[in-house]
Amino acid sequence: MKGRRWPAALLAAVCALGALYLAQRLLVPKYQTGVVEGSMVAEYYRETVDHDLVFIGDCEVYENFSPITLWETYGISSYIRGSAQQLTWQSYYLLEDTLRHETPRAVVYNVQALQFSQPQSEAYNRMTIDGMRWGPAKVRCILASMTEGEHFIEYLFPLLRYHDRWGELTGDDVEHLFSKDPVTHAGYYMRVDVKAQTGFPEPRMLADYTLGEKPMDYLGRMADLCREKGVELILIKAPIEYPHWYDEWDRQAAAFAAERGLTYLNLIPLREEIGLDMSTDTYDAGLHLNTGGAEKLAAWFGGWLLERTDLPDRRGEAAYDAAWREKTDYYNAMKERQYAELAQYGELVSFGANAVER
Amino acid sequence: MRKRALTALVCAVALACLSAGCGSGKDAAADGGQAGPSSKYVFEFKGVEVAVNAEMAPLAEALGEPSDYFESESCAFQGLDKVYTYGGVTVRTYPQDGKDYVLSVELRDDAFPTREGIYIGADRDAVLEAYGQPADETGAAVRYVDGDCTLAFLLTDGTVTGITYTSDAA
Amino acid sequence: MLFTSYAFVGFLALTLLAYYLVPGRCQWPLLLAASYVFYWAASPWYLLFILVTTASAYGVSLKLAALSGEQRAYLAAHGDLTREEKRAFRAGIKKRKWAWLLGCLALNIGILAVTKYTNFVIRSLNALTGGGLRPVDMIVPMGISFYTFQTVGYVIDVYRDRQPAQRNFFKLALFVSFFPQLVQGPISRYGQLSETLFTPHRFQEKTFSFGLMRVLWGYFKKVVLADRLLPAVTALTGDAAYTGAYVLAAMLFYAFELYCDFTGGIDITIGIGEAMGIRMPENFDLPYFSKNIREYWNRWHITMGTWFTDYIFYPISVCRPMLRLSKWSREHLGQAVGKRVTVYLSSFAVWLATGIWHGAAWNFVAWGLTNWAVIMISQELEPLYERFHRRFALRGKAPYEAFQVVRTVLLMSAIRMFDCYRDVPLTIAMLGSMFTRFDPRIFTDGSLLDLGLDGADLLVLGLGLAVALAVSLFKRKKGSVRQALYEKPAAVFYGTMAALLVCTVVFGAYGAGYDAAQFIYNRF
Repeated sequence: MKGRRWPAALLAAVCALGALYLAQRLLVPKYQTGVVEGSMVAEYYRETVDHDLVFIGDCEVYENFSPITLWETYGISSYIRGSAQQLTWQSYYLLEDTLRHETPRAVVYNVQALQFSQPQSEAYNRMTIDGMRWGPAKVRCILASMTEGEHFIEYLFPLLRYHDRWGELTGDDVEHLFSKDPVTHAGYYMRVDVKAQTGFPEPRMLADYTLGEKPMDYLGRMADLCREKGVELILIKAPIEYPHWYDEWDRQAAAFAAERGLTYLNLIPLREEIGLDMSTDTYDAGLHLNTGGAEKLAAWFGGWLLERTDLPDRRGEAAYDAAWREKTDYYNAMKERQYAELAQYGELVSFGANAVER
Repeated sequence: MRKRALTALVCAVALACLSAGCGSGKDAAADGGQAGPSSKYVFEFKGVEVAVNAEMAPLAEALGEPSDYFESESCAFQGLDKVYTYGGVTVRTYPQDGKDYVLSVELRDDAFPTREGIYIGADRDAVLEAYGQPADETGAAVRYVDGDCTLAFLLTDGTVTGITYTSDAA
Repeated sequence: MLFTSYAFVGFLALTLLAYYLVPGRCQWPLLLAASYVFYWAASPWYLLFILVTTASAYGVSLKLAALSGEQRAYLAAHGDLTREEKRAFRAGIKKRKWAWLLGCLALNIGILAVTKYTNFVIRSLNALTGGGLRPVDMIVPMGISFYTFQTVGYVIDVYRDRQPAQRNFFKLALFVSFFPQLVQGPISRYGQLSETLFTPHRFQEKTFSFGLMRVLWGYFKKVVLADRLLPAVTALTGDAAYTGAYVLAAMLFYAFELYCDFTGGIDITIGIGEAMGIRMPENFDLPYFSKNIREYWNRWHITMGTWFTDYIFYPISVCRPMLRLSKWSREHLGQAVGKRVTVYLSSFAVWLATGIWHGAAWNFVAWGLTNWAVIMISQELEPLYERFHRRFALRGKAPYEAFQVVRTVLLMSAIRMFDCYRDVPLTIAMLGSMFTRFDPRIFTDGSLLDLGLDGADLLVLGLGLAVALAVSLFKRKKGSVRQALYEKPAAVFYGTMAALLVCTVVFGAYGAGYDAAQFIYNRF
């Protein structure tokens, strides 16, 4: 190349890369309003203190347990690493990722996702995986999760996946071009509204109730990893009846726990003991708990945990106090805002489905 | 003679170049990933064919008011999962591109036979006689697969206690 | 590996990098290896087919060359032979050459016929006899029509002593399988392509950047324009309810989609070659600026047209039965008819073949023969046109030329609807509905937004097509756009490339939410 032309070529290449970078920042969904689940995984990396307890799983953890209550009641520093339809292998890789950053005393895994042997949808994959920091865990998570038609390179360069969003950009995309607001409370998704559980349809009839090989294999890997790192793994089934958790699945989860010497707790039969009232403690007719329910469950579960594990009370430790004070303030502020919206509109308008529609 | 034969041969080369033509790209695209029934296993009741992966809206209209209806928002607002119950028949749907498609059809009582005449309460041999060799069989179920549909006969002590048509595409 | 797949882009980048890193003498072997990897990626089984074609062409062309050499040597050594003896010797050699050529053609035609023709025959037989023969699940090697045409052309050229035989098997293998042109042409002649295919090429900024810019321009046309138009074309031609003005919309949408798809693919192909210093024949010459259908066919899919002309039209025109028929016609039907017989029948054969080449169905036959009929009618009406022009003196006037261009585009687009509706009576009915149910309001009342394209899509399409039109107009009036850009400061040239890249990545219709649309001509 002639000496005088290559600087222009280089400059053009740099400009093209810069433009593509900016386009990527703009076009990748921000998950700040309505569908906030896509922000959950990445929010973990903003944490300033370690956690003695980490929940891993899908909506059955991030919508049903309030870490703020665990802190306020027991001084337990906890975090929920969950996202929508988080599959067992994704939970495993998130656990691997978490253990690169810290070593909690206990990890609680919700077994609901064991029923899925295959990736369910590209949208859920993206919400879970895009937020992970790059590393071997993310690479393996992508490879284990891709549905037909997905490409690894689209995870590497999300612009290739989201390039066509220019027709649907919103104010959020511009406002959060380079920074995002927190949307969870130590991984917890808050909803204070109430929609009573009235009933569910008959459970789906299945030809085969055996939990899949792939999720069970990853559950085994989770157990191995925790043992290797000296972390206690506790398996739970959140106290939610729909989608149906079959007795056959329950027995298999219990058998796995027994075989590995783990604790498995199905919370569905314990709802009364926990104090849950599904006419008031759920915001979507029994699929998930609302904040009142999540606080009750956290309060009960924290007590149950402390009877079995030696989770420390971190209250009084300056760094923890400061970090959790900030979280608690944000939690209370959001709670107040949601109650105010309920009082004014009779429903939430800045959160959940209404925010999505707007 | 040779020239004529050569010409004929070269013409044959051209004539032999047969393929899908200008619209082929379109077809490939149109076929990919779109919901739509593609199985010989179709359940029929109330005079309506209910095939897995069929669009639910016209079926729901044809089938009339269900005896029970349930819907649940999937996580992160990716659509509504709906369950229509018509007596002993349960139809579940999945959302795709703003429409609902049939995920599964479940038969729970003996009021509804399959097209091939199998009722709840039939025995395993009757199933095999009506449907032939299954794709797989366990003590608890006999399964047939065609297109995007798995037809399963759930067995208890060799007797059919449930029949399900399930989409493999959803 | 579709050209639009990530895998191909990665493969191409690696190949280009390696191409300029290896010593010059290793460049063509590298391309051969890359071409076989490309073909293997489509299906390992395909390699078997292309190897058979290559081996047969190699063996037969060597044999043909040897026989020609034998003839030359014998005649040189036996200068005292009488004319009759020479003719007899030549005839003997020709007979042997013919046998070898026939065997080679039969083999390759056989492969082509079996892989691509079987199900057409079965379907046609079923339709004729009401039989229930089941179609066969057949392997159809990718690009078999293109590489077979190219290879057959080479062997015939060797047979005709117009082309020396390639003695290096691997070089011939590269000619047959050169990956950029393997799947959709252009159909190169050995003499043209071999000039630059096997010679070493050093990296040259101008050649490389010109090639890269053409590749980017090809991707822009394919993924930003053609693939964005695809849903609308699919919707319009997949539902017979879209009559009247919708048919006009379908004609125009498909005209632009096909143009952008096919020329985009060819730009990528030729651009890859250019980036490597390899010249391939042009396949298009601004076809939508043609003033009549004959001119259009001289400017659209040029390499296919010249192939058909050289290997079908001329052989048929001068074959003995045709000459006899021509003579008989002149004697019995008069000069006017006699001189037309050869042209009519030869071009009929060409258009029949062209129609079937585009698809194994009667609608493609109808498409080909309609083209033939229009060309012949135009030819017959020439004297009338001449009188018209003498009287009105419109020739050369810009508005009249614009009218001619628009008329040709509309006519070609209308004929092309045989490809889209795939049903001859339906196509005729739909075209007819334009004259009975034409409601122009669909172009203004938002009806076009129900075809899978929203306002943003239409905006991108409008701007993109405007850019494509501007490029074509510039090329028509002033020549190469790339050269003009290159003569400006380097920042302008490279800035254009950068903009092209960014626009293609951001505004392309690809990835999740879009069906992977292969190039329309990939399937031939």
